[in-house]
Order: sequence, then C-alpha cells, then structure tokens
Amino acid sequence: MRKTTGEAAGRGGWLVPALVLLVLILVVLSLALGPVRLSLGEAAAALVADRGGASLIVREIRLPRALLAVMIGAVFGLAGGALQGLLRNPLAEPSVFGASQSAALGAVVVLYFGIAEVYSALLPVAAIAGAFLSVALVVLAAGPRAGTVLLVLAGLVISSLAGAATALAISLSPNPFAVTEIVFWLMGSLEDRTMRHVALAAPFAAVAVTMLLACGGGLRALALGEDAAASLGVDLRRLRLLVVAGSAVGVGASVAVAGSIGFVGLVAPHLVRPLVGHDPKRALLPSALAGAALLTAADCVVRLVPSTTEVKLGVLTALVGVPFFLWIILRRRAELAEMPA
Amino acid sequence: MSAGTPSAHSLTAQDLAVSLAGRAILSEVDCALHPGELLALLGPNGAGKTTLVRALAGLLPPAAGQVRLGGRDLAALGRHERARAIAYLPQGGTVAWPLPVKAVVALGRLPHGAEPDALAPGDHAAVARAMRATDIEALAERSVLALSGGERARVLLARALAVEAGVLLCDEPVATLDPQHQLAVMDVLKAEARQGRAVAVVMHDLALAARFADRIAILKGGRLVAQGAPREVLTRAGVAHAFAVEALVEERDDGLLVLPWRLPR
Repeated sequence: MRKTTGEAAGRGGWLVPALVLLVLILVVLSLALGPVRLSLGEAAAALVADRGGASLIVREIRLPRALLAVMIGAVFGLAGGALQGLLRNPLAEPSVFGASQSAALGAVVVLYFGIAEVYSALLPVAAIAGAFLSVALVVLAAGPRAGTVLLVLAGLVISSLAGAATALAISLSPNPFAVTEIVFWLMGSLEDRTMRHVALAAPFAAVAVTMLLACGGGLRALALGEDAAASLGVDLRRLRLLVVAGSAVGVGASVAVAGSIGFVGLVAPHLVRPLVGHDPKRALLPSALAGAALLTAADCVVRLVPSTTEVKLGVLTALVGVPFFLWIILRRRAELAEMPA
Repeated sequence: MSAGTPSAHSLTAQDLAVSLAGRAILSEVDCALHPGELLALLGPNGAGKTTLVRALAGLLPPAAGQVRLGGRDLAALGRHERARAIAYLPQGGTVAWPLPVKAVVALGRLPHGAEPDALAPGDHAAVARAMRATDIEALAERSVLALSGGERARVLLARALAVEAGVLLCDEPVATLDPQHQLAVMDVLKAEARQGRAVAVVMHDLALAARFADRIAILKGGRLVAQGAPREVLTRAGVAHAFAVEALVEERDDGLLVLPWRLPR
C-alpha cells in the first residue's frame, strides 16, 4: 500500500475536477451561442432530449464544433506541456516549432491535388507527416540543452519554409475559388464542422493523448537534465519519440480538421504549472483540460464579436497568444539569457 | 548495516576505451571501485574524468573493453536495475523548473518505482535521510531555483544519495562550495563509503582528495597514469608528473597534506 502524503492531495487535488467542470460549463455555453440564441438550460435540454429545431441546431451544428474545440484544445495543451518538459524550455510549443504551419502544408498539398475528396483520411495523415517532420527537426536541431534562441530560430526557419511552400501551392492553384477556401481554412476555424470531422480527428487525438500522457515519469526525471534522467533509468530515445510523435499526431489531426490554431499549447501549461508545484508529470492532465477550456472559450468569443463574417479562431488565439509569448520572455529574460544557445 | 544500505558490488572497468563523435577520449583504462571505499578521480582539465564516470555509470557505450558490476557486464543490465545499483551526480547540474527542494530529492526514488508526489514510507525515509545527511532539511519547501549555487549543489547531491544505490558516482560535487560545505560534503561521501557503498568522486582539489580518499586514480590524456593510496600517488614527483605543478607534501598526525604550490621553474 502506498501512503499518499497529505500535501500532494492538498496541492492541486481539486484542480482536475475544477477544470473538468469549467470545460463542461464552457461546452454548454458553446452549445447556446450562435445566430439562434438559447439559454444555457435550453441548450442543455436540447442536447439530451428532443426539442425539435433547437435540438437540430444544438446536435447537428453546435455539438461537433464544441467537441472539436475540446478535443483540439486538449491535444494542443498536452503537446505544449510535453514539449516544454522534453526540451526543459517554457517557450516550446507546437506552433512555435512551425508544426501547425507544416501540418497545414501537408494538408494543403493533399487539398491542392484534390486527393482529399477521394480519400478523406489522407488529409490528417498528410498533416501529421508535416507536423512530425517539423517537430522532429526542431528537437534534433535544439539538441540536449535546448537553448531558447536555437529553439525559436529553428522554429522560425521551419515555419517560414512551410509558409512559403504553402503560398507557392496556393499561387500555382488554377482554381481561384479553391484559393479562397484554402486561405480561409489556413486561418483556423471550427465554423460549419460536422460529426464527420469529429470522427476523422478523434482516433488520432486519442492516440496522441495516450502517447503524451505516458511521458509523465520521464519528463519528471528530465527536470534534472538528460544525463541524470538516464542514470535514473529513463529511456531517453523512447521518451523523445513518444513526445515528438504524440505531438505530431495530435497537431496534424487537429490542423487537418480545423486549420492552423496556435499558442493554446503555450498558454495552457503556464496557467496550470504553478498550481501543481511545477511538477512536469502532474501538469500534463491539467494542461490538456486548460487547453480544452481555453479553446472552447475562444470559440465562444469569436461568435460574440459583432462582425459580418465570423472572426477566425486561429486569428484570435494568435492575437492573445503572441503577447503572452512576449510576456513570458520578458518575465524570464534574465534566466533565458543565461541559457546556452 | 544501517537502514537503506544495499548490498554493494564492485564496479570495474576492464581495458575500457570510449570515443565521442569519433574521437578517442579514453583508452586502456583498468580500474576498480570496491564497496566501502572512497575513490578520488583526479586529472588535469580534459583528461577524460567526466567521460570515465559517465561510462562507469553506464551512460556511454564502451568502444572497447567493458564495465562490469559485480561480475556482470553493465551493458547487459536492464535500465531500471542499473538505475537502482548506480547513482550518478552529473557535474554542475541544473533543475529546469522551480520545484520544491523536497520534490527534487524525491526524484532519486524514481528507480524504485516511486511516485515523487506520493511516496511510500520507505521512500519517504530515504529522502529524509538524504536531506539530513546534506543538511538541507531547512530548505525542504523552498524552490530549487531560488537557492544559492552551494545550496543547489547540496540538493542535487541529496537527490543522488536518495537513490541509496550500492555505487555512488559524483562528478565534481564540491567545486562550487564554500570551505565549510566542501568539508561537510566530503564527510558525507566518506560516511556513505563507510556504510559499505562504493563511492567515486571526480575532483580537482588535491588537498581534499589527499585528506579524504581511500584510493586515488589519476587520469591524463585519456589514460590512467597512477592508481593507489594517497601516500603512494600524491608524492611530489607524482603530482609534478600528472599536473605539471610543484606541490607541498607533508605527513601530519591527522592525515596527509598536499597543496599545489607553484609552477615548476
């Protein structure tokens, strides 16, 4: 029998239930928001019982959107937490690595050649391949002592390259209508998604979450550095592969159905880490839940902004995420300057 | 045998060679580390001391020869078994996150399958012993990033002690400490050896090595150039040959005094 120390239960034991509750509330809010305004009670009732038109709207139009926001937010939050733990760097995040852009490139190539219409499962596969390449390249380039400068530069190079290649694909496209489609899709949105999108992304998201949650113990030991972690019995190669592949599968599948949505994976782990005593393992699940809450909330906000066309979700997360990124850099400037490049 | 002292085995390097990025760092190293002894690994900068302890810890594959733990090839040991048998303290270690000191020390229990945030009583006791030995009990709840360099070095040593492995390998554990804590840490390592552990320490301080080590091994240019009791190895001629300095060597009632004094004229 293991005796759980009181302080462990006291410190952050409430966090997971609280975050689950927050996500549920936001999901109901997300079901209530739209051109047809429903109260929270009406939305919940329309979901569980047949309420005619309201049920149709809630179940067919808004539920897929809410499910995708939870799923994608959780995947990004978890991937951010795992990558930050692996690289021992608070600025690591899939979109900082160019993973979203590279996944988008993979998806655009498939869209461009029209393969996606024939075989839809190829879209997430191509996006995952793009994401895997970029994350693996950045992790390799960063090396064992991932200096911030090197990380950010490697990420910048890869996202620029992916962005340029995507732009090339777009300008070569013979169909101007397809161009508009691709450009809007690149900005990232959950508008007009169906259960088909949920079914397409869900298996990949489940695989990603399983892989990333299995990394906790290794990430914990890695707080001491690679040599010390290896001396404690951590298989570093397996850990690296799990984090990189898990992030790529999750990010790729997310981008395939929702376009490029960044910075959730940067923000979510930062919000929960102080609440779990900065333990990289105990931060994982709360990071996923916080990511789900953040993205669901953001997807509610884009529907509340008065505008002719809906504000794109990816645009909003970047507008909030980039200043946050800067804030972390400023707050940790002294510390980051010491890190070897 | 006091609580937490496992059965230790000898750790031996046989004709060991190690290459890093195609460059030979160590060659033909034969040395043994026995339970109950404190071995000081000395040598000029770049002699291969860190590479040798990493290879002894099983973290670097030998290019030739082998490292054996109690007669078994280290490379054939499982990762977890090796982690329970050999504790390793890297040089100048840092901690990535502002973890509480106690949580850092508790990481030493990972090889025993412990969850650092829900320690079993046995793991708890091991962490408490390690913190008492290194005199960091008062820091238990402090963030490890808020500590002075000397305090952090002791916390990381406590992390390695908490493994309670039969073999303890420390890479420059006293380099950043003030004189009082240098002596305190050497006392701790000596006590670990007296409890039956095999302890090897990489260091630069000849005075501390002469005073505390049971045996001394000197590396130079990737080869062992001397090995034996401090009195046999740290002679004026021995120091001059290994380090190219003139040393004061004095036999005192309470030990051997060796002090690097000046460059040879």
